[in-house]
Amino acid sequence: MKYVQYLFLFQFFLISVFAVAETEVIEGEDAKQFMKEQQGSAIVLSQKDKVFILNRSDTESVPKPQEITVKVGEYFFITNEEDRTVHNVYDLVDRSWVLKKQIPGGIAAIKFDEAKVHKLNCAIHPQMRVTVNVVE
Amino acid sequence: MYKSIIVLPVFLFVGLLVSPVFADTGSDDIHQLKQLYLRPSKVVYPPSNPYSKEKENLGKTLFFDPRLSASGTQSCATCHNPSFGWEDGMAKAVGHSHKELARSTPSILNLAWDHLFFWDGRASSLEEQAILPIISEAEMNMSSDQLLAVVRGISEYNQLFSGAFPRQEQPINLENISKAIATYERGIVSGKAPFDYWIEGNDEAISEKAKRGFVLFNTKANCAACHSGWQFSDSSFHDIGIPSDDLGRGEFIPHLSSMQHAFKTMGLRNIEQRAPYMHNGSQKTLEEVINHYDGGFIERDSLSDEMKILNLTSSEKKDLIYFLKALTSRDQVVTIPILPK
Repeated sequence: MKYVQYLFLFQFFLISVFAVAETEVIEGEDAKQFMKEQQGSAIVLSQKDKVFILNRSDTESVPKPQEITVKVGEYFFITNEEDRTVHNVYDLVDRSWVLKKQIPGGIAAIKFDEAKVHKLNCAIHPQMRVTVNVVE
Repeated sequence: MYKSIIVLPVFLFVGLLVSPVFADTGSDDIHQLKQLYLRPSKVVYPPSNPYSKEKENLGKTLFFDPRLSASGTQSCATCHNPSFGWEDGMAKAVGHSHKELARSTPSILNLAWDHLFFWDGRASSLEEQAILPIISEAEMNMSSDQLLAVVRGISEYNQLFSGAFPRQEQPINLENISKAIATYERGIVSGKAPFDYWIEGNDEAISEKAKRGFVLFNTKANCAACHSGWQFSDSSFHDIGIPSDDLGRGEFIPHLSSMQHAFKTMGLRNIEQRAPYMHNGSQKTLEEVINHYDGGFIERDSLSDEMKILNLTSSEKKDLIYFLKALTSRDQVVTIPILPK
């Protein structure tokens, strides 16, 4: 019954076509450790005075960036550098992930697995927004 | 010798009077704090909808025109009434057919500097905010077609719209109605209050109790965590533990715990005129509001991290209220326009 065999093989084709690329999020102590290991080479979005600040090792920090660019499979970090304010970043485009509320000192590492445009917002302070262009 | 007998007690007495104000903060800190509350020098208008006197005047006319409602009895000003700090003095708003709505009418004071509108932040521009109550079934209950037919049918509006939106073949459209009303709204700014004169350097402008209240507002009472800046709001969204089933912004962001029961932080200018308080008007007085923040809130997963038991003394609560009352400006009376025929 050859058609059964073809049907069996066809399901793997379907899975590969429809498999959703996952966004990976690391939070808490694991993220802190991970960021240390990066030794300042990664892209960091800091939250300070209720705005985003872009920090990259090779350039000066940029307050209120409209957009940042990261590569597919590359981790970038979101940190809370406030004295007291709590933030809660989420993605308007990809609702499969959210960050837990970040208290001051909180660090999260995020990795996107496909090229796409994401729009990040702090839910609590929605004027804090940045577009993340994920490129190959 | 006699001079020192008099002068020393006087110094001590003055010191005693002044010291409670600076108990929590030194005088340099107070000066720095005051800088955070400076008023802006002018109103901000966006490039997509620049200011003109004709547009503002048209916007005001539309704002006060009850013919923009299906019943013919409700204008924007019915609920956003200048007599009540641009609210309506009721716990919950009343819409079409006198039906009570789910939430309180928010004030439209000082919105030119704001970002998201309505209690749940569903409108991202004042233009969007301006048109939504008109076409909302529960509120003014006009369809877009009805609205345009009514406005186009009032011949004097043609001239007003041509003046505000020149060189357009048919200037009476939804976009221009929104733009005109939004332009008028941007000009609704609370004037200088005694607090502002104190910020500018007039030390007699507010009482010592109000000054103590200002310090508490920024320190022990933690109000400035959200009610910051000259409008006394950072426009953030928080669940402040009000007993209510209303999910607020959580309706649009159901997968975020922090947004469930979260509502917009409203500004506090002229707050004395804007009772009752909160999204459902559940608190009738400023005393009730302060008691709510001082441990009267519901603890739940979504509760904002800023909500803590404050342990305010009764005297501290009174000082806070003296301060809040110092935010009332004595503005020029709003004139009601003669509506077009």
